Amino acid sequence: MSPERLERDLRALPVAWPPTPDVADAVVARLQAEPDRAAPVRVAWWRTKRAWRAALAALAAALALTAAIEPARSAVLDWLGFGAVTVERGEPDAPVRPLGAGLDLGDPTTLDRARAAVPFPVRVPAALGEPDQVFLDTALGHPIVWFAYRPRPGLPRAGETGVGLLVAQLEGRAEPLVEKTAGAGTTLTRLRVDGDPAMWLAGAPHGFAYVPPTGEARFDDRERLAADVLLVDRRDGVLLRLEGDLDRATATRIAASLR
Amino acid sequence: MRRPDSEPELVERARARDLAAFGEIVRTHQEIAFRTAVLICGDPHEAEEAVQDAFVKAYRALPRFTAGRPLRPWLLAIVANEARNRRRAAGRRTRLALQVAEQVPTGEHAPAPPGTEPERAALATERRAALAAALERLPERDRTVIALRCLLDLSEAETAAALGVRRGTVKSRLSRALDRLREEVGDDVA
Repeated sequence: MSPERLERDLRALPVAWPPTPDVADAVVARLQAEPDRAAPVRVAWWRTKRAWRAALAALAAALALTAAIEPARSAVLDWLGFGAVTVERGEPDAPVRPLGAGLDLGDPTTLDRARAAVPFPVRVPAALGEPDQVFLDTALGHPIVWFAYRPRPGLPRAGETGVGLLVAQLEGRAEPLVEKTAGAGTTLTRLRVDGDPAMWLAGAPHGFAYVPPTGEARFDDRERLAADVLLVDRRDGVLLRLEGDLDRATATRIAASLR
Repeated sequence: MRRPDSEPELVERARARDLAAFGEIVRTHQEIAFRTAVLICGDPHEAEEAVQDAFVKAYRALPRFTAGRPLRPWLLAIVANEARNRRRAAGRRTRLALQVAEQVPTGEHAPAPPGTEPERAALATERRAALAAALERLPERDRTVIALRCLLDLSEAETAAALGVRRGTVKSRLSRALDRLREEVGDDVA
């Protein structure tokens, strides 16, 4: 089946959507009940001359401001009209987003919240301490907790990710799929970390596949494909994955320090 | 007779805390918002609550909405975020909570396939069923991007806003998801 045909068939699928509830009244009622609401403004206020003068002044100010922050604009203003985003003076690449934000790792969260949200123990590598940023990723149907660490001595900035180290923990097993994801150019070395079977993948970028405790194998096909990765099939059922620009000994040492 | 306000006018009025204007905005966008939420959180009741909460939050956030930008992607980003939060809070595995209609409908949503004699219609129904079944078997991530883009007909920018990713990511994710869907369908339909 050709790609065009498939898309056309998909678009022609008659989908039985559940009926859309009318929420407008409920929304308005909730907003009306808010105590801090200002008095209603007359509907036609914007038709007055004064309002137009003010609007033109505001527009001019907005244009001037836009021009002033032009370098950071594309990074900051895209769809980020809400949330905890601030425009800061500085270089265009100034990190206004959380560490690892562009890596599609799920939703930023805290260590405590991530621990409360997943059914498996989330451990922290004692060799590094608490992560700089935590993400909870549920896009694949079961949770993955990601830690991002800033580059620091011993943890160089990795070209693939721009962070020092990424640590993923999830329920699953890297065996036996690991062989499949390691394509030509990737070397696979089997080793032990704290007695648990582990795999060191180095060389060419590769994907990440694993078998969750229930269900079918998953292939995590993010834009970024990892270069150097350590996978540990831990005896507690957690698959631990370290990704960074590390040597094997450092990765092994960090993995073995999980508490 | 006064013509209905255009969307920028409604937004302007809503920003000035005109709740009637905001109510109109809600009515205009609630269907697409609700369907997006259903796709993400997988449950119509959760989706309804997510949509309500999202519109309340959107109203509060309106002062920070960049005037002149399209409103729909901005709203969908808020809706999708609420829907995701609910899915997480419920801790359930999401599924595509949709049934593909079994009959060839006569409604406005489904254009009749070319050549509508009974045999071809039956074949089309079979193919649709196979396609729906294959879609069901895909990982959630693939299903969602296909559903947002092809079933709900969101634009690339709107899909990106709903998924919280870049447009380029939508493009590549969709293309890979369609590849996998094609493989799945291949097992069912010769």
